[in-house]
Amino acid sequence: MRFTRRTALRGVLGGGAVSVALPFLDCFLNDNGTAIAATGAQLPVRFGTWFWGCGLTPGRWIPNKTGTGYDMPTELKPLEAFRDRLTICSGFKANTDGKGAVPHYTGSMSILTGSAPKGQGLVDFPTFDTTIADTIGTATRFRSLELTATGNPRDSNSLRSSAVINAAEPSPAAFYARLFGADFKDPNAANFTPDPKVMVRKSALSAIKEQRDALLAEVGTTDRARLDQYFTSIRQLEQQLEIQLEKPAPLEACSVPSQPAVTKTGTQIDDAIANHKLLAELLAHALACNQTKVFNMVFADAGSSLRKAGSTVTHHQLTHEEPIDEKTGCQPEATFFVERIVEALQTMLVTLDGVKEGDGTLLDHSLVFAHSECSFAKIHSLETIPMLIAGRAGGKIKTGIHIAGNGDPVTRVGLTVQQAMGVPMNEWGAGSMQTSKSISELMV
Amino acid sequence: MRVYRALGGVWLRLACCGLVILSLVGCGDSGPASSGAPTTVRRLTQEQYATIVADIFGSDITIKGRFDPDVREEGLLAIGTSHVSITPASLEQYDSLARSIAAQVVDEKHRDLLVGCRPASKAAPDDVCARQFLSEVGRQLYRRPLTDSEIATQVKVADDATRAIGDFYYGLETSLAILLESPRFLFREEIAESDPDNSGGFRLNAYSRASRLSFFLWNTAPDDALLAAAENGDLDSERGRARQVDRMLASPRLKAGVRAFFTDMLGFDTLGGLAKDPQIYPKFTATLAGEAQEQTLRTITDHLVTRKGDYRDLFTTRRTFLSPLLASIYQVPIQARKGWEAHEYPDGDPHTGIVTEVSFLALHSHPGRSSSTLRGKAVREILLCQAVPTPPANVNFSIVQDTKNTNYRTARDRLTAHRTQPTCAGCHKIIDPIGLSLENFDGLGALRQQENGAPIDDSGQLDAMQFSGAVGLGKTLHDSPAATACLVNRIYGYASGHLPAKGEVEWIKYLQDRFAADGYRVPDLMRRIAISDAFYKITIPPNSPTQANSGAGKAPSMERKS
Amino acid sequence: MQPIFNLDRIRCLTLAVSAVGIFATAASAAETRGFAISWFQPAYYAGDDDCPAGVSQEIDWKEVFAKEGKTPAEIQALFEHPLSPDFQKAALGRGPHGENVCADPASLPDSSWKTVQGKQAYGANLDGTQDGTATPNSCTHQKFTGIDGTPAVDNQLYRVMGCSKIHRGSKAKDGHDAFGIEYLNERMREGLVTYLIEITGIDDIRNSNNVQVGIYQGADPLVQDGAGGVQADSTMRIAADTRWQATVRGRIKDGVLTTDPVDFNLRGEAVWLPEFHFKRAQLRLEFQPDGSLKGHLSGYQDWASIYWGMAKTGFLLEKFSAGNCPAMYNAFQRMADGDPDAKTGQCTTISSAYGVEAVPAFLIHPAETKGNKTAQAAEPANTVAAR
Repeated sequence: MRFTRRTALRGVLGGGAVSVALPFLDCFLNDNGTAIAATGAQLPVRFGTWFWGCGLTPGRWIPNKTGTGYDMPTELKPLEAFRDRLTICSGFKANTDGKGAVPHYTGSMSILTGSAPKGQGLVDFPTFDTTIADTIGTATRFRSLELTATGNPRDSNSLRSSAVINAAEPSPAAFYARLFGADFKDPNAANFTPDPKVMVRKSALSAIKEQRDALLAEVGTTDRARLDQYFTSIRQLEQQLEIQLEKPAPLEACSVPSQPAVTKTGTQIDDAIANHKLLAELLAHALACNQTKVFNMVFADAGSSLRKAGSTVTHHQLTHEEPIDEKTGCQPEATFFVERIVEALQTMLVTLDGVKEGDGTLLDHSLVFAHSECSFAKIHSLETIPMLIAGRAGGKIKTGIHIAGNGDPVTRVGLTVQQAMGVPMNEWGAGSMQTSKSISELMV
Repeated sequence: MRVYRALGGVWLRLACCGLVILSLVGCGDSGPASSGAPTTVRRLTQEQYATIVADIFGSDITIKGRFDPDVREEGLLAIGTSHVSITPASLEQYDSLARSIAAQVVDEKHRDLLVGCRPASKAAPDDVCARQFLSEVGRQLYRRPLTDSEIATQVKVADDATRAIGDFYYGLETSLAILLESPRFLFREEIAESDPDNSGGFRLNAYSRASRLSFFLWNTAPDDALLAAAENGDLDSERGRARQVDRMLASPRLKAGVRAFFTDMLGFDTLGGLAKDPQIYPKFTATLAGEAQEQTLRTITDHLVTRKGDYRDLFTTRRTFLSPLLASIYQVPIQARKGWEAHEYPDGDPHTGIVTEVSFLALHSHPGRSSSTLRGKAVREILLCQAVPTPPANVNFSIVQDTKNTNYRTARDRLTAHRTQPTCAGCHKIIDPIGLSLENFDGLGALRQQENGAPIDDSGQLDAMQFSGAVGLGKTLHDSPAATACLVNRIYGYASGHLPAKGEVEWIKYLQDRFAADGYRVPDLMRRIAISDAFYKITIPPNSPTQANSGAGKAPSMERKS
Repeated sequence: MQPIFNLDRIRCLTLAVSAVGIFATAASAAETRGFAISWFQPAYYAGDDDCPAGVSQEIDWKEVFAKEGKTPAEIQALFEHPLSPDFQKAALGRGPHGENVCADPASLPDSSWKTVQGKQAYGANLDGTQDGTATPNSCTHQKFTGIDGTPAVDNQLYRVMGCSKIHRGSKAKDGHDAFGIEYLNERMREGLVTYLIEITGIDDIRNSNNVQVGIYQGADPLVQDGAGGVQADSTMRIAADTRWQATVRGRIKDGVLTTDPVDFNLRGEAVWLPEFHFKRAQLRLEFQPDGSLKGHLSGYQDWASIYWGMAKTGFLLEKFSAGNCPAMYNAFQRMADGDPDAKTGQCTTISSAYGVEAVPAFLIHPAETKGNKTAQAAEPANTVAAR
């Protein structure tokens, strides 16, 4: 049997795949070293959330088959082209732990903060996009960018606490001004100043490297190889810091877009679609120009207020009052909005995929976490809320898989995404949703 | 201290002679001579790392990080820690963890309390303050005093960083982070020295002894008193060690040590990944798995530490602790709304001992059904230290797995059919009859009387002993010499980080005898190991470098002992 | 080979030990069983012939505004912001003198509310008549035939609500899947409210002709199990407040528990109905092979509290739930069939039926509220009842 690093790291036990411990083996040294050295120079990895309210229709969005090569379900058909870069997480559940569910709020906040909120607007923990931003987004101009397609700046799911909400930008014109206005500095023209703290860290590491000879001389052969592996790891870390101290390669995909006209914003579906498309295009430029690495897009607010032009009937309202058509298994009028929502997600993915970067596209170097706040909006169900993971995250996550959660807490998905984005944590969530079980099928 | 490199191949002969002489002499109370074993270099476990940081800096320092999983070897993660390294990916985690801890320690909220001195200027190096802080914290992290050159290096790191950024505390933070990701902290390196009582022999040096002792009893680094005892030479004699050991055994922290050992021995690291089919076992959740582990650890520490009970009674005790969730599995009412409540089952109840708890029954079952084979195997491997071969590669398991076949409604029926396959019979004969006695507990650990409508026959057999049900199994384990011998082997392997070496066999046998004579009291066994000379005895393999004389790993105070 | 122990025996032994130092309840040989309600939902059937004129629709606001004399431009402006206070004010203030029709439903006579025309419904014969003729305790009304064939069933609540758009479920789901009726059930299962049932004096689980049945508000949230159901065999405290407690005589015949009529109250949830006020309600629950219960609760309910529970949300009811305050109020008034007011003769309660399922649970009674306080202080505050 050929012994690869992966087979050593991951095994399958019982019903689900679980992590298997990695024994020290000499054969990893070179493999591993090369792999790590290569990632140092890779393009940045971006993270984004994409939210819509009122869920999807049970029975119409969960593939029959789990694992790779799943069948694309009816309501997700517009995403067919992205199947090998789209992971579907079904069957994960938000537990309220007796706190009582706040309609159209408990679901999304459970997914994003790892704990059911105490009430409307009362979260106990920050949303995890901020944790990821603190991990990957500290060196960019904007730590993160929040956007909404339905016109209300308060429609943001990015919270550092109940009191600190990152307000969303609804207007493409204003977003353009913020990104590419007077404060914009062409990243390819800018002078590069190495971060003195990185220099300090790199130089401090020599205090550890100096210990190598003495330490290796103290121990037996086997232990010597183990400790030498540790020092190899130290050299890798040093190389990563060195890369940070060099002027980065020019951002070939970076260009300044033309200024969009002022548009009408609001909850009318046509306005939302148009504004979302403009915002997505500007966002793609912002990402390609390394203005931010993290974004949060709300396409339809929690308890979707989307409505057709001239009508006062909202998507939300339809989900509650419209009966289910027994032939199609859906609520026909509400489904109109579901279809537009999935098409909008398609627009976002197509836009990111349209930016070529290195050996792939912006989408290949991104992880887009799309989710709703309930499973079946009709009854605000907190079981099996739709969660999708699009993009390859620069190879940091496995993709194109349907994961069935079997009633596990939604936090397993959040933990997995955070770990894939390099957040150092081995457990996440609170109460009955606390978990240390990331989804090993997705971990690289 | 002598240079052993010069001895080349000669030392092995010397050591052998020494062994012969010692075993002739014997040693009265201390038992037969032990050869000792080579030194180990163990990677800190996640729990140890977290405990040490909390011990030094307080529990409000947040520790968030991903640790590489440990490896189980010879039934113990503790032995696996002697064989794992740190990969680049995991070093990244240690690096970010170290920097996050260091930043918290020197932040404005903590610095006055934790740094212990104030710089003359916040913007300039202050060698006196930096030296004071780094040498004190370094002593606790390295589990020995830093050498002069190590202190000089750490102070220089702090000074350079202070100058580059213009912030004294940033300098301190940078240097502290280096200490926290140093191999001297992350690995428990053991250093040998020549043994004055045993010419040509070796033993751990005083600080390595202190570490072995402390991680064994408390699962954390030596505290200040223990380091002081190492420095004073108090740990050189059994009497001196006894003083420290008795102090540590009397501490509430002993429970943490006992919990860590049993968590390892009982394989609870795998409980976190346990999955059950929710349609078959709707009562199973991840929360339940965590509480099941806690139940057993509470039962064990209450029985062994608080009540100073007989180890064997862990297989028959009716006393346990329940949470509301667990009470619903065991189908008993509970007063507590949160947390834990002591519970005692009545006479005749099949809940007897730790093998009838969910942590054992659910862990050693399949996701959708109980498994007499897995349970029997676990009894043999975990509780009796007996190896069970893995099944041959091309076995037909279909009969065992098909719980819907009306010809074989109970697990016993299915396994009996399966056992007619000759390639399987040999192993199943020694495993299944143990597990079949637990068939009255389903794959989650809840009681049942029937499987698929058929009554359950819960007769069982372990070697020559025949018995009925969980009560019978508990009694059989209670009376099994293999179970108590296994505990001694495991606890010694756990404490020393290696399988008993050949030359340690007689010593371990002696420990087993004493364990019996001491009424199978586990803290007494721990004491006996911890104060003995044998526990700290070292053999140096032929290809070893100059273990005992290296400069960098040695504390200044050791010079006077050479 | 026989099992060497008996589960039921073990259970009894377990309880005996648990009750050490605690007031033991019934010391007789008769068994007590506790249950936590795991499913609680108005039993609204969804028959094909129920709503020949269709279900209720959202009010045509343009027409309402035009009637109020607003110009097309004004109407257009209102429609730009359908959630605005102006829109709400215009919508609700359609009483003859601008009254808020949800707060003052009698101000606008409106008999347009669609009611159920079908012949079948869930429920029980509550008034004892075969034809719904008025009695001292009831007003004249139409009867249904039960879904199981029971003749002369009363369920006027279904008659009022059964053609409401958001209370009408699908035939496939037997009417279960409508927002308006699933809401409380979902919140209950998430832990908002807990209802408990206790049966004491059981001689034989299949047949006991004299048992006592307790209906209680629980003090602990339900615990969800890994499959999305309610965790069986949990220990649940009965809420101490006697307003939410009732006991009644009952009997078990061939595995079916029925009770005498009893009045009791339960807490509901804030959105639809904050409190249930049941009058002369009876349980009919069948023991299932897994030890759980399944059946119905039928009884009269104070209809005004049901109306006000819905109408308090005013605009939300009318805009988002296809409601119509004055029309619904009018329908309740017309269909109410229980407890006529001594002066006006207007019935004050309405017959109803709820689907009920319950899983086994251990119940803990609150400390006795009467009796020797000193003794109480010396003992643990709770008594344990059996599962």
